[in-house]
Amino acid sequence: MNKQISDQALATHIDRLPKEMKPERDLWSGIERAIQNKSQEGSLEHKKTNVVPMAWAASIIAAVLVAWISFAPTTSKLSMPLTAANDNPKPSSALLVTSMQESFQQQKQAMLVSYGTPDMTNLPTKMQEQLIELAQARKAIEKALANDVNNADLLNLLRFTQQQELNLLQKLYPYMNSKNAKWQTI
Amino acid sequence: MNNSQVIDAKKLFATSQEQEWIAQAKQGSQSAFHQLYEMHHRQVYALCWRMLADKDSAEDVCQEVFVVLWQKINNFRGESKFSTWLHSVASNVVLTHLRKHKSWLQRVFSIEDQTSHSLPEEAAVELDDSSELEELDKHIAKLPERARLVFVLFAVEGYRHEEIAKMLKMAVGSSKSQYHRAKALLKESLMASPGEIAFAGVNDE
Repeated sequence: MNKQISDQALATHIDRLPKEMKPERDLWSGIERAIQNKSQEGSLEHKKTNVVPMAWAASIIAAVLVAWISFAPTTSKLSMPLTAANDNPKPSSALLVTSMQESFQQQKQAMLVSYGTPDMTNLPTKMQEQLIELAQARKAIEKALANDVNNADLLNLLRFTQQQELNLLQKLYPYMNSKNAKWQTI
Repeated sequence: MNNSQVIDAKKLFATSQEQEWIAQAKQGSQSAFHQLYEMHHRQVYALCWRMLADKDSAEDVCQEVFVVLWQKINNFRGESKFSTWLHSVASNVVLTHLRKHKSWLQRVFSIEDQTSHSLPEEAAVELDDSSELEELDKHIAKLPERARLVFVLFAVEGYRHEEIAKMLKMAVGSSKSQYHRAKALLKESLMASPGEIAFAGVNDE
């Protein structure tokens, strides 16, 4: 006599299997850490995509400036008869440039302090290069303005470059702190 | 109000509460998501344990399921019950985990299919927490991997063979034959350890 378990009996026991089991360890803490990291990664990815146009802007400004500086002597000669006042620059224009420079340095300093005075060397090399390029561009404009203080185009370009530099710093903030961020895995 | 009305009211409240948590979790609320976890993690863990037959892997994969759920919860459109949708997410995460952790030797040669139609020694798993498990679960855990997966998905989770074949990337006929193989092995295993489960329907052959 050989006994056999029927399909019906097996099915009955399967139906009685508990629908739930309790894990031994706490799983939530790991899940919580992981989803927080995922959220941060998501926002970092979003910011990374925003940095790309900034990098393009920095490169374009640098290229425009190189061209500008190359043609600067010609431009000055051409503008001389039109702006006779160039020989005696108005003190107010020089003051405006100084004021712009001071205001920019204050904004930049305040921004860096609010980020906890981050170590710029933490940034990826390419991004450091972008910042250096923008800073060099700004300095070149300032130099050009020293010789041609009433040039409205140069003033506008300085204002634009300063703003781009501040914007780039703002966008790079997540990268400055990313070295300290330890992405935990569950 | 009789007992069945009380139970219905409780169910209705739980469902509406669940829907609220889902909506909040979709908006990014981690506390609502925690409530959903509290509500469902034991069921998800049971599914993971039965499919993986290993406590540590089941715990790890159960965590992975909820991380994937957090990322995909916006895909839930309410066309089915949330628990049903969650179980399909969980099954897929388990299968992905198994595929990732398959050795190159197992990928190249279908080793398991070459084993004899009896429970192989190497298929026996460590059951450290066996005292807390149902006897039938212990026997299911001893089944070879593919047979166990098909058996759990079909007999316990209620998937159709067509769905299982798609999930496991196998022919529908293979799913059916793996199920019959699992059933035969399970009966054999149960008969070999008499007294553990009382089977009312034991037939004389």
